[in-house]
Amino acid sequence: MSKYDVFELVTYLRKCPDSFLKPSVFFSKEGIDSIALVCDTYRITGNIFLKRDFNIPADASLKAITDNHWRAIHISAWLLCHSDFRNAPVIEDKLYFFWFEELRNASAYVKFNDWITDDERAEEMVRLLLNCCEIIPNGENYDEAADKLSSINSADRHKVLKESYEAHERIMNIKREMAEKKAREAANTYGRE
Amino acid sequence: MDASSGPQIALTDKERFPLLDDLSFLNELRQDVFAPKFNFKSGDRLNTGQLSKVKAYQKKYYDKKVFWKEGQTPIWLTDYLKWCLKTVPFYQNKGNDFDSFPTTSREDIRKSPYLFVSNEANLDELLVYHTSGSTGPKLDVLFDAVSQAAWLPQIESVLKEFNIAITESKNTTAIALICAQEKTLTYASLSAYLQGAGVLKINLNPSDWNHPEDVTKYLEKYNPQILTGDPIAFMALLDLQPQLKPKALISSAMRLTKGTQNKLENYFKCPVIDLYSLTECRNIAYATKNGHQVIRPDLYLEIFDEHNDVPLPYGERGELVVTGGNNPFLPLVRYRTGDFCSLKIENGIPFLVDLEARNPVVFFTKSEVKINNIDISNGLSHLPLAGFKMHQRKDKLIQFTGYSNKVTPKKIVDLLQLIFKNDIEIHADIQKIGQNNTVEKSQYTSELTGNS
Repeated sequence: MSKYDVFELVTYLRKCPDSFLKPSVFFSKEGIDSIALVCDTYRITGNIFLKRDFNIPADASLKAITDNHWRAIHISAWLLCHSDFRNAPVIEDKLYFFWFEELRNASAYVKFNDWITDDERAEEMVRLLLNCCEIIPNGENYDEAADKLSSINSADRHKVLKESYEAHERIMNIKREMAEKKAREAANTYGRE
Repeated sequence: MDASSGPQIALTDKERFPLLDDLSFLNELRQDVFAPKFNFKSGDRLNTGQLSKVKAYQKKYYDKKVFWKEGQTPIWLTDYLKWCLKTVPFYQNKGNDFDSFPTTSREDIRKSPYLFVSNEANLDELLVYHTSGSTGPKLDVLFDAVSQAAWLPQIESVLKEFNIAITESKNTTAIALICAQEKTLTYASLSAYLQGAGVLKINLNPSDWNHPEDVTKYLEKYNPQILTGDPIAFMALLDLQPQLKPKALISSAMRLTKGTQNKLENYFKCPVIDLYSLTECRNIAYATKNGHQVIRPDLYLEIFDEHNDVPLPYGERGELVVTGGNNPFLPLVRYRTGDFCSLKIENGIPFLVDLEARNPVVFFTKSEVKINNIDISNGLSHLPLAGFKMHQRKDKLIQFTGYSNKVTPKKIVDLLQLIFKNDIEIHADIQKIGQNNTVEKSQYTSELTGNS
């Protein structure tokens, strides 16, 4: 199989074991030690098993991470166990941005289990990860990959929907005001037009 | 606007005049023994911030007028276009290059006026004016108190060219908009921008007055400094022979012939200014010997091909297209006015040359010689016609209807025969001007060129 094949990675992601779906230890005593999982993933992808210090958010920022976001990180850790990402030190410094920026944004709109139960969301996580790691999927060029990600990006879609909703609301408000103001006196007219 | 089906009185005087505490002059204008039966109320609606905006607008553009040079665009244009693209839904996704930006039509505004409202416009400040549609389908024009009051500094800048200034104080009537219609909204008002000076909108129709002679008595008593209106209304006023001493008459909405202008100037002993304005953006230019001199530096004017989105070079005749203005509820980008002229710039001032309302219409003599409507306008301009309509039928017969109390049908036929090289059949009718007229603006139509 070719490296970084989206279909292959999506198939792999959807086989994510239940153990990765547990809450973080930050939310449940029985939960996953999220920091340990993140560090292990750094080690696996970077092939740097003796390293102890990894790029993780400060304590205050860790507390701000939601349960849904942590579980998305756990699921992505499973995805990063795929052989395509093992021993790929070049992505090590990209993962922080993926976990703590992009996944945070997406988690605002995607429930954690949708990442593995919904085909489109699974593809979104795969493409988000590849994009953050500056990897072009097999058989695609840069523009195609960007287009495909853009078409399924939850944060972007939400932004478009929100803007569209706001624009619609604005128009409805203007129409309402127009109807009301048309029936009322306006302001002095000084000359003919 | 029709008084019976138009807007309703819905405000208090405090809401009409947020900045004026002393309304005694307003009450005097309303309650005078000779006052008309006012059927409406109106104010300038300006609050402190809005009045500051009108004054800032005056200072920015009219202290010293700076237009643009031939082959260049005004300095404000780039930022204005960026602002429109960012905040006005209609202009979004139409590209960001002004040179290739498409034109906007009256139909665009008529169909979706709400798409032209900037996202930054405060809907609490929205005002709506519903046009009569005398030159096309009815149109809702959205504006605010600031863009409406900006009429005053724009006109002050024109009056300045005639060394005329409006006296700004309470107890003086600054402006009277004269109408001579069957029905229209009428009111007495004040202007905070003019320090509380009076503003009148009156209808000469005798049914609007308690006694027929009240109209002259009322006008003579308050002697408005500036009379505004259309040529029909002014000729109707002239018929009443009022003893008024206006500083100027400002005629708009219809073409003012030289003959009518002369008659009015001889009687009122003041300049009669022929103003070109549109409901969509208010004042644009006024007539001079060199063409219509552009008034507003906040408008950028171009000439476009009538049928294609192609700008034409300076000096070439085409449709006038307007960009700019100060109305956040209707910012214009390349708006097709439907009026035709060529553009020239002299000493830094733009002029509209041979401005004609609406589509140019070509007429034909019996032997198929083409006659341009501009030649007809020029040929008739010395007559005291307050307005006219001219139509050519398929069988080439010319039907002419004029409005005047002086001109005879024979005079019209003689002049038109001269223009048509004595090779045409003409039916001319002259209708008397009363104090209650129903006159359409459209002038030239033809069944031969499809402009009927």
